[in-house]
Amino acid sequence: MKLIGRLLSFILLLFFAVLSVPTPLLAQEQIEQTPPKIDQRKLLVQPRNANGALKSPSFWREPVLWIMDKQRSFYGAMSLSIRQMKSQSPFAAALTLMLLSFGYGVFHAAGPGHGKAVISAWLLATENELRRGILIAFMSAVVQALTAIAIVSALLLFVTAVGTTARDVAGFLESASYALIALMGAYLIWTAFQLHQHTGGEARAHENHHDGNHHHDHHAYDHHHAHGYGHAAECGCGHAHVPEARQVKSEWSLAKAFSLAFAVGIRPCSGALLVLIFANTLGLYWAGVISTFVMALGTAITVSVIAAIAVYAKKLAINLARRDETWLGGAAFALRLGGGLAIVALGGVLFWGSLFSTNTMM
Amino acid sequence: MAWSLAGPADAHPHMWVTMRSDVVFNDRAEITGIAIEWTFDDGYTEVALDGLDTNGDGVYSQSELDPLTQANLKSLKDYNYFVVPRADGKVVSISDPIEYGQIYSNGKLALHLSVPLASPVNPRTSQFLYKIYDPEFYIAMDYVQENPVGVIGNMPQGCHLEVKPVVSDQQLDQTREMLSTKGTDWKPPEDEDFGGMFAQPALVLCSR
Repeated sequence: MKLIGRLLSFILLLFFAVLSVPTPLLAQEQIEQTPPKIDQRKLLVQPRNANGALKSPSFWREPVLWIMDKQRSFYGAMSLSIRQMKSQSPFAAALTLMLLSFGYGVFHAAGPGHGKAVISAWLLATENELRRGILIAFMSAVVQALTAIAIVSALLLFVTAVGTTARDVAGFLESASYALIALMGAYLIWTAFQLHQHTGGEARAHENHHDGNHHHDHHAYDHHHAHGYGHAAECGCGHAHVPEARQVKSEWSLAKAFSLAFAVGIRPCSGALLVLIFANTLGLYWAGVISTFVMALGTAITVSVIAAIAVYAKKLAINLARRDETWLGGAAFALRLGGGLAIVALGGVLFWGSLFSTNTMM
Repeated sequence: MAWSLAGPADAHPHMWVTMRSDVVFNDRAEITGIAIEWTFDDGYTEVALDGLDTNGDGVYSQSELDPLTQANLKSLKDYNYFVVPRADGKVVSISDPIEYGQIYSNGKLALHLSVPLASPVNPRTSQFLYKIYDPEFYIAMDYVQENPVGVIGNMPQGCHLEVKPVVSDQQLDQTREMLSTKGTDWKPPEDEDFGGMFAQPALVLCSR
């Protein structure tokens, strides 16, 4: 029975690990099979389908191009609708703009970006509760909306050539945000090793580590009480034989939630920038502001749903593994490490992609 | 803006190509194909060559350039290689290139390809012309000043080649005026696309 449970959990974890493998790794494997690989960007013209539409790049072979392609098609569809609205009544136009923004938010977030993968991986890695992930999803969506509104408002006030400049700013923030995300992943990996040292094979480590140095326990307990939850990971000062549950909880702090929401949200949703600028040209800036928040609601919903799927899939695996205590430690370490690696890779790919393209996500 | 991180390797640069072309004749003095040579601008050349010197000898040999050539021809096929030949106004279809390659010399990268006509055209009995252009004007293709067109093979006596000059400002104005009188669903006659209205045609003219 125990063996079956172990096997099952192993398979599930393996399955999960494969899911969380960043796509570039898989893509590289495929690339190696076709030796003379030419970067699509070098082509004089991009391949087309029989109907004359451009062929979409393959997600597996060209993840970055695929991302750009999808975002571009969203962008095109939306700007077309908004332009057509010019002839309608302002109120109808504003309403349509909001509805469109909501739909755009929902579907746009299903595509790459919006911290979906980041938040899911973070949740899995730190074993935070789902509602916290959802909270972060909404927080980052709001930060994203606010960033967009702040930027566009400032630009509208201070810069005349909004159309061209907004793109540059978005590009810069985009790159900065991806770099932040990659750093975040690196931090996760670091904490994985920190915690692993402390939790791996608890009892033995406990004794080996601290012979002669006992009575730390009590001290540690007080220490953590005094300083609240936020400090456990940074502390790293040998007090880590606090119960595991405490450590898990201590991962959560408002400051951390904010920093994650900020890292995800500092890149203003380019769709939001677009909506704001278009709303301004329509003379409906207020509608653009509302639409931006409506869009944020849409993206937050999608991100939450995806985070929920990820968490429940993992809970199943962990419940099976819980029968064996040491397993949990190993699984937590693996997930933390895997999540960290996934985030580094994701941030890295996005960062890299953003460097080589103007208005990537536009 | 100075802090824009958009690098020089822009994903979609506009491209400038200088070209020349040759009309290919067979022994019976019929036109069987068109040979094209495109010389790319420095920007594209830089992007295209990046990483292709696989053996690191500082020379981009034809074999090192071949993967790029193949990839480009593969996608160019979806655009009919940008060649539109016409006999008596009707579009003559073309087949895949029979000869092609890329050469990098003197800092210039050039792609040459020879596309055969689906069926040979006799220039003495039908009026033959062709245009080479990107209908979307994503790539600007301009003929070189000196000897823009030439002949390969056996051109019949009494025939000569002529490249119409670039559309003048005056003609552009006329076209604009003409277009302003048309509805939004108007299309140029004879399966022409809008890009074709501005491309330089090359003609084979024969005295009859």
